[in-house]
Amino acid sequence: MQPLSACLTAASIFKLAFVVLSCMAAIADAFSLSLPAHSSSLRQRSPSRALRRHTSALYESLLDSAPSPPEADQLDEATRERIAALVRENPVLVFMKGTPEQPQCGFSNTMMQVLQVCGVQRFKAVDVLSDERIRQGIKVYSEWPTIPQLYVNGEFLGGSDTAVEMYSSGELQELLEVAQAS
Amino acid sequence: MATKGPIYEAIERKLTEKLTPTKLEIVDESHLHAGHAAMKGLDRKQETHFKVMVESAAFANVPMIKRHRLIYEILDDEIKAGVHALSISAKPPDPGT
Repeated sequence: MQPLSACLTAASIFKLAFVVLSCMAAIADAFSLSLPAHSSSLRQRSPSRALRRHTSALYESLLDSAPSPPEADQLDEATRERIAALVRENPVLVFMKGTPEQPQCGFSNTMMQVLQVCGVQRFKAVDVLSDERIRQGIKVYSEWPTIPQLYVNGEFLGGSDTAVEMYSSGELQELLEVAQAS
Repeated sequence: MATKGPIYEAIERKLTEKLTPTKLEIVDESHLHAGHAAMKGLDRKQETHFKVMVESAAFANVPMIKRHRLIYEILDDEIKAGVHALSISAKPPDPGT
């Protein structure tokens, strides 16, 4: 009987060893699940320069193309105060793309033409292309998603379409006369 | 433009549903601006510039700027989706007709 009990004992030991090893394998598997994420982030570091360049170029093109939605988080307090100060201090104020001498957008050009035809002598033009925070901030401030934007005597009057319509009705000239006299 | 893009159709559907216009005309002018610097990198078939002419009783006694704001609100999703500019003519029906 001794050899049999010895065999049984050995079998028990093997069984126990098998169970322990299985547990260890399971633990190792569970541990190894966290490694790929870490190792993949390590792998991502080396090709990221090319990826960054490509992403950067794509981002720049999208930045110029689609207007960002006027979300509350796109107007920080400092920018809001800058815009408010511009509106407060300038009787005739235009946020536009480009400058009055070189508008960079057809609608901004139309706005300049309207002001010129109305005989506006003095007005403040802000080129939003030179300041991204202003460019996005005014969309939130004015609750108006497009550029240009016209303020007369602190009142928002809309964009180039509304300026043309108000010019046609004569309303714009009246408002500008009051603003120029102030 | 021979075919209407998805944004064109969305604009047409939403303005019709919300404003019940007596007249509605939508013109996709994206191709006129495709060469502009701001459109660099975009697919030339993208719908980026529209002209919208709407006549609706919803605009009666409403100041012009509020009519435009209303249209911007109705088309908020389309503006977020990439409509770069929207030229708007929004009028109530002519009382004489």
